[in-house]
Amino acid sequence: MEKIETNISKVGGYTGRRMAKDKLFKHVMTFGGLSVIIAISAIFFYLASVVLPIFMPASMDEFKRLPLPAAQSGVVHYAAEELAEVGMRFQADGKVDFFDLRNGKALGGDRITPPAGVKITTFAAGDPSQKVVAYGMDNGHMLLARQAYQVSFHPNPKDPTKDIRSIKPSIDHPLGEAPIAVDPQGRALRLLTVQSSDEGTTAIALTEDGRLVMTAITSRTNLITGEVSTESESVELPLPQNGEIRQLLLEVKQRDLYVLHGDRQVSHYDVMNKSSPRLVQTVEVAPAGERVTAATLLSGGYSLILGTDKGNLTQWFQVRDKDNNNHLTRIRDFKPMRHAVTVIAPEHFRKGFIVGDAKGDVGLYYATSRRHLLTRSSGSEPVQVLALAPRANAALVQNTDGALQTASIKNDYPEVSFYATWQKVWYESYQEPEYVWQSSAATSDFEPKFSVAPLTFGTLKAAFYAMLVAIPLAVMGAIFAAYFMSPRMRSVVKPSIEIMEALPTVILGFLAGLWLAPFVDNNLAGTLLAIFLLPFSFLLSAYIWHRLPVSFTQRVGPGWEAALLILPIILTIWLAIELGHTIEAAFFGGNMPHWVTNELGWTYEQRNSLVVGIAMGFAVIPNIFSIAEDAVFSVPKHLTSGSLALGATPWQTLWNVVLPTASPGIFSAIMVGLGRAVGETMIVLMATGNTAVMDLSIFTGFRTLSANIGVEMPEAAVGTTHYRLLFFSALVLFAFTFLVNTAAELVRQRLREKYSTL
Amino acid sequence: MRDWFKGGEPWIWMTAGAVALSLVMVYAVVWLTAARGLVHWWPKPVVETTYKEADGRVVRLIGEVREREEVAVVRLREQGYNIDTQDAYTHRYLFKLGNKDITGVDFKWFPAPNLGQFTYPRDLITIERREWGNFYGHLKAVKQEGQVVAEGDAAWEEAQKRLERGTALFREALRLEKVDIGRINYQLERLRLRERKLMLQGRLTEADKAEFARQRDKLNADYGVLQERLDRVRHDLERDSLMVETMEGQVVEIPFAKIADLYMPNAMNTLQKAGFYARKFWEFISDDPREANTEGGIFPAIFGTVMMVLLMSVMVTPLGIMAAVYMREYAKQGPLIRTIRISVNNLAGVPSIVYGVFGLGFFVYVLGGSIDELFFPEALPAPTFGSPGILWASLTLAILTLPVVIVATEEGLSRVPRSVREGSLALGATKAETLWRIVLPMASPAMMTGLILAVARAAGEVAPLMLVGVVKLAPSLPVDGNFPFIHLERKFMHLGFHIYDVGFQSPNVEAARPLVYATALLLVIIIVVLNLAAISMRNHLREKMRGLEGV
Amino acid sequence: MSDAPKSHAINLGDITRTPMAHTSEVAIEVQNLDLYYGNAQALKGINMKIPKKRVTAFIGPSGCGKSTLLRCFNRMNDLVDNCRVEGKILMDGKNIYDRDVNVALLRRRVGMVFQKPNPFPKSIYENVAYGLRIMGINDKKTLDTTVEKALRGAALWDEVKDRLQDSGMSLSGGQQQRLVIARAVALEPDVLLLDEPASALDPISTAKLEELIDELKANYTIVIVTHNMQQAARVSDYTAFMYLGELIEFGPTDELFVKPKNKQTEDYITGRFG
Repeated sequence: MEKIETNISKVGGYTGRRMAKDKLFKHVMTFGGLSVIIAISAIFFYLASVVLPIFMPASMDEFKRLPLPAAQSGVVHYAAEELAEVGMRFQADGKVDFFDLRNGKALGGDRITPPAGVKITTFAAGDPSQKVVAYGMDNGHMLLARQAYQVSFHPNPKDPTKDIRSIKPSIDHPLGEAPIAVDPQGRALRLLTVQSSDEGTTAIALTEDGRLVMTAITSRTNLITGEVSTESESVELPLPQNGEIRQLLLEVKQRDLYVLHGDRQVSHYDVMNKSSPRLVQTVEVAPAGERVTAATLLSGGYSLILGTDKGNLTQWFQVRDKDNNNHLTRIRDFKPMRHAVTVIAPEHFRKGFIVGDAKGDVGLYYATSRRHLLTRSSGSEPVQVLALAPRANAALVQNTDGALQTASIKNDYPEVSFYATWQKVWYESYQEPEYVWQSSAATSDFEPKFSVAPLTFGTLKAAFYAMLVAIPLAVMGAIFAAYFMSPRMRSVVKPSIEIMEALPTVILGFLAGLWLAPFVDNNLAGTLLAIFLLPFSFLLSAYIWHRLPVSFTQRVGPGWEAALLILPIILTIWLAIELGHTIEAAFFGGNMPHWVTNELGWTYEQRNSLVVGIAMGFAVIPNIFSIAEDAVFSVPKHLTSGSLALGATPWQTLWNVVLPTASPGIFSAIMVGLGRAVGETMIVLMATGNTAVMDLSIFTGFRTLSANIGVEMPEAAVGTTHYRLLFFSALVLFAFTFLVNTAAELVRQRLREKYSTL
Repeated sequence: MRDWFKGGEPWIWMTAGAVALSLVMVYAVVWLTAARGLVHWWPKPVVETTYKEADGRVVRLIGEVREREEVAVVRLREQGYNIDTQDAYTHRYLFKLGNKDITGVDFKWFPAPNLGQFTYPRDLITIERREWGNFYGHLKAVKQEGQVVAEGDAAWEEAQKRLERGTALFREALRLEKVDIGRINYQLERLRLRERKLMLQGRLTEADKAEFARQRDKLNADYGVLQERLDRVRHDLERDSLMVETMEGQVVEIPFAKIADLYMPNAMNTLQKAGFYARKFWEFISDDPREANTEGGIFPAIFGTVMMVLLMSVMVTPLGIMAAVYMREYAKQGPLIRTIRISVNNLAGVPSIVYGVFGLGFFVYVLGGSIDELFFPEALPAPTFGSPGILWASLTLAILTLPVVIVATEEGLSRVPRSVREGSLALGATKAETLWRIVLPMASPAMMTGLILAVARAAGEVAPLMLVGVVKLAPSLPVDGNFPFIHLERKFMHLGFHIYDVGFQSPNVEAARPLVYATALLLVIIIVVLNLAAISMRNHLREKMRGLEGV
Repeated sequence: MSDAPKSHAINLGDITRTPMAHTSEVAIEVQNLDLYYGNAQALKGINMKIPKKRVTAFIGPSGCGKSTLLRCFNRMNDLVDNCRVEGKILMDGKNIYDRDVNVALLRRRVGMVFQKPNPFPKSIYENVAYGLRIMGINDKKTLDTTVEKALRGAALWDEVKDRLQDSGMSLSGGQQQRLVIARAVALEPDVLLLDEPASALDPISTAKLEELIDELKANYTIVIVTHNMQQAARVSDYTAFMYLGELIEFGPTDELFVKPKNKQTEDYITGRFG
């Protein structure tokens, strides 16, 4: 006992160690506990931080002049390589200059040389993604060339992990260096449009004598000799009705030709068949008095962007009508430029474009989302030549003063706007504006469709049907369990409900998809009948019980009604299924789903909302049940005994006293259930077809936000708009459930306080 | 009657009906899973019968009857069946015909009226093949190196013996391939990474290079030896084969190398069937899956689930307890801590997929990506921890289940009576000593309950796992004989995901269905047992605490 | 152990102001003690000297602050969030509210027994050994001796000696209370505070407990709070009457009960209020 300290203010020795341990324990717990709390609250902030960039506006640096040597003849085209480090300048006389896009340093050049005595008369650039350009000449021939950028890596003497990259620009000739005849008659080419890809090359030209000539060149490589043989075919196109032809635009797949003529007319030619092209229609694309001053095709070649002398910008593409005819249709207008549009250039891989006007303003736009992203001034001279780097991260602008200016652009998420995510959008090759979520496709010219409306709708639809099943069952069940049920039965029911809550949703989804869905499909009438008949079977059982001799019914005692009803339920369901067959045979030709499709004209899917409603209702019932039960059960007993003492029946007491008191608790139970239904993933993933449609029918499926995340998240590339939008859906789910649950919790707490004061 | 209505009696019965219906639903789900799952391992008799085709031809059918259901005759007629009956409804049978390589269809529905008498010839055998699924047919002969060694009745015994030999050889080949050659490949890869690491650090000397080359040569030499042995075993495996007649009357030769199991279900008595059942059950929980997971066992999924849950428990327990102890014992009780408490409670209601998204974005890409850059630059651009794996999955689920543990622990702590704490403090114990010696032990059953509930939730959760580490088929387990033995960066298989994947993503859902039910049953049993344990523990605890508060 | 220096234990200068027991040495001296819960004052200007190795009883109507005062002696009030103490409580001349006082050591020297018996959910043996183990005494022999001595001291040994490994919770209420006393006694404290120790007990257990208190006062200074005046009269040597947070009267029990100096004391002990 001597070891025990007697001095109450002693600090050293064993006591000191004890106190140190006490402090340490406190610090560890505080630090650990706080870290955990901070970590879990970081979930929200992390999600938000990933989402935030899509709401950031695009930005563009100030234009910067590059000290390039002046061009001897006019500049007709600029191009940049993928990383926007090296650029090319094409001059009207066929000279090509290479330069460092970052500082304007000259990197040499090349020359596309016409044969002796032949003069270059026109220039055409193909789709930027193909990097092809062509010079038309006064002998009816053209010279086809392609930009090439050879990337090589050299070991870095300073840092072995990072090789030095160097890019060597050059010009090559996909069809050989020899001039290619475009006009068989050999007249000078006045206007030219060219597309060249692996599938072939098509050139369409306006000759000096006013003919429209199309030449298609297909090249074949002999597999044995490796020899390239080309075949070409020329045909004359009918001329558009009136007006001087000002611009020819062949789209990248070489199927459609748009001719701009007169002040405001565009003629659409179908040139898919290279031997019999036809003029499809001529459309007035601007109001009278307005002149179209610039036109371009967006990447993919579907959409035409037109700019006018009033600065107006419109998007047009072909829309197929019911009779399978295409009409060039005005799709949407963009925020106008302030002055006459002089030039428009498309992005290489997205549906964006850049516009220059007569006072040197440059505007950045995105078609799908109808966004005007920004406008920058490049001086006061009219913009003459305009180009975007392949990744749309830099713009190359030349005004009439002849100097090249560049500016880097940060514009990673132009696809997102309120319009694009929540309103009907008219997508390329769609017949009308629609809500569509389609984040990716096999082709690169695909227009991503990011309408979250159908997903939100699907989420709410799923929750709606689930709640339709769950609320009556859970709330009524909770009332019975809390207020009428005998304690012994309660001790069986409560664990059962807990098991119900614990059943993995993957099991429920699996049963719903693989067992319930086919079952409902085969017994649709029976299933619907069972849902209809069950309440009546309860009433009938109650009445029979009521009529039974009291001596018999008393032996069971009150509070066991639920157990007594199990058999009637099973019988009713069995009976309904049996009857269902007869009904289907008698009224629905033996196949009700078929009847629903043919006679009612409703789409019927095997994995439909009915199945999800039942399965997800099942999953939500225990959540609602346990909270509602608690609320009803904790209503102070003196309230009910008071009512009962006044001669009210138990039901009347329940209705007039208990439920009004407990209703906030029941409401909060329903809120929690809703939160669960909105976020549930596996059940909807497995029990629906996951198609993002928007209709309320009970016989169709849907796609929810959560299932969409489950399906698409693993494939989404990090940092893309798609990835961030999926994070956005997760954030929305998080915020929604969190708020709903918090509201429910507050309601419950207030209720508890109320109970304690009663 | 009116009084009866007015008194509310019928409405009471309506509410009772809601409870009863919920109960029926719960037990229907459990029963359905059990009923369908339990039959999976029972040998199914092979039926031989005839079938009248639409064009009137009568053909022989051999196969297992998998399902029988009532169906409207109209529907069958719509599907092009020619049915001669007046009834509106009839039955149809789902036959598993097997022989997928020959007939092309594994499963097919046949309307009952067009089927002949079912017979069960004793010599029909079921062959479980390693590829192409089951085979059904009449056993004809056993061949060794192309020569018939047994025919007729003798063939069966001979076949069994050769099956044993074949299985043993197959196991050996598998072991050589997976374990021995797998190890060499693993070591070669590690060697490559070590060399690259040195190179990246600029410390790779010529001597190192020579040493690496020497080690590589040695491993390659070992590999050659093993490969030779493997080739020999494979050659031996090719020796025997089986001649079987299909339902079309065609006699097919099946090498034993392709046979996983062989049995005559029609000739088995109940005892044999029971033995078979036990054996198949064991195979189910101890074997690897075959045929895109639709056959064989689910051992890797069980292993993955258990390991993930264990890792999760190891992470969630200290974190949850620390947070709870801090909030309940150390933090100043005020509006702030109350808000935090509500928020933590509410996190339990946040959809699990959200945690998956967080896990993928933060753990995998941010944390994992940084770890790779810092510690595994030699493997880049191939990610090590920067891709989904069991560590991240466990961590994600730990965060997901954290609220469960915190709430349970807090409840346990709050149930420890103040008087007991004061008793300890009054004896001169410090707060830490009181917590450590008195309070935490008293709260431990509550913590246990929380942990069990967390484990039950984690074991059944699938949605977040799809994002952070689960795969349909993991090439190797997260634990194996190669240093460092536990590979937390590896992807893993999971029971719940297995159900989703096999039931919904597999090309042959029909074939996989019994297996999915069996897997589902296993999962349901695990979850139900865990939950019952938690429930009974909690009830027990409440009783005990009530006793304590009473004194 | 308890033979701390006594030179400054008695402060004669205060004798006129401070009601105190005559003749004895002082164990605890309270000087101008005020105690607040938030803004509410629960104790007002308490001054008293508690004599050594005597039983002092605090009586008064409920809510008068007697338990609060008792809990000041081992600073149990520190656990209450917004509790503030002004003034001094001296033990062996040392103010226990000084900053350098180690509360854990103080509580070791000032044992306390609560209204409701609060044994730990451990064995009887471990209950008694708990305080020693906390102090770092784990030697089996020392523990055995001390546990036996403490249980004997608490008059429980004979009843539990054959089931020391049973849970402390399995004892009856009276036994539990004596177990708790044994637990406190095992540490050989100077002072033993008893906060209405018999309130949860039946009359027989109460009688046993009172007997025990009588035995314990040979070795310990005992302060007991009770709402039962008879009990105070039976067990205590000195009695303090408190009312509304003030010490109304303090003196030898027989004097206070026979001829109270104060009107309020008289009213209370004659049952005219409370």
